[in-house]
Amino acid sequence: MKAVKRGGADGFSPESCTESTLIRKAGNGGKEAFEVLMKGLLDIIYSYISSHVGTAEDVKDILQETMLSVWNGLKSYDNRSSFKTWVIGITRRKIADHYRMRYRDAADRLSEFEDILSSDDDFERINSRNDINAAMAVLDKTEREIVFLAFNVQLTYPEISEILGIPTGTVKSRMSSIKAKLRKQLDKEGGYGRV
Amino acid sequence: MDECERVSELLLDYMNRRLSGNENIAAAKHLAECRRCRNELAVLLRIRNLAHEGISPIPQDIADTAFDKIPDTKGTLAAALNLRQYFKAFDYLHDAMSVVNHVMKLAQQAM
Repeated sequence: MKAVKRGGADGFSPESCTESTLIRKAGNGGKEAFEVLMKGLLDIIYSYISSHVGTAEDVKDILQETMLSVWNGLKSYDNRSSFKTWVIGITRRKIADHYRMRYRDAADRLSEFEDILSSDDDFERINSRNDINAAMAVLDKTEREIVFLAFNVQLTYPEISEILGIPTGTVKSRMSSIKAKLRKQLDKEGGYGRV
Repeated sequence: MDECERVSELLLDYMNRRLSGNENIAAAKHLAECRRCRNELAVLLRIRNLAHEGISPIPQDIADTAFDKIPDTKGTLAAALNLRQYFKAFDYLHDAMSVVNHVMKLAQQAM
């Protein structure tokens, strides 16, 4: 488990603590421990939110709401899933809440959770904003999310299945499809760190 | 399920270093012998490069406000830390006693 360095004037050095110690301390109200615990995940959480949401202001709001939910939920975190999986799951729910609020007047249009997270208009707009390259463009929304969770967040198949709410077998078969599509695309483009 | 199929299912976790010690050794052993699975791993590595290109670090102004909604628990934390200092004294005492015990044992053995 990772341990990082930083000394505190009060003798408390959260950055030399293990993840489980930080979780316990943060769960007991330690804000400093909480910040150290979450700082290592900020880039991933930010990328996940900004891949679903258009404006910097919305990203900032959802990030703050996510942090608050993690903070409030720490006492009930039971280690059933890895801490990272748990946090990403909360982030996903906060993104969905954002869309629920935004489309509350058109609830019939976006009543299902999956629909909320995969609104075509938003997805295409955000993708063009983020300048996602042509290779990724061959993937559908769920496949791009699986790529993010598998390769950026480095989750296992069961963890991805837990977050997306689909069977592990389905995640595996979607991964086969992702590999087949991207292999073809990458060979065509001949780039992206051929190994 | 043949060995290649079994290892193929482990490749993502192998690449992400999420396998247990034994699984890791078994996968590495198979990969050393199997060209097909090495190619499969190469595809995953290329996708990982591609995925990492799409990630940008959090802008400083957004990172700076990330914890703004977390209530300030400075008072509570300080109290908890003060309490911790008292327990630390017991830890030091315990460590010192262990050293004394160890030295005594060595001394007895030397007699």
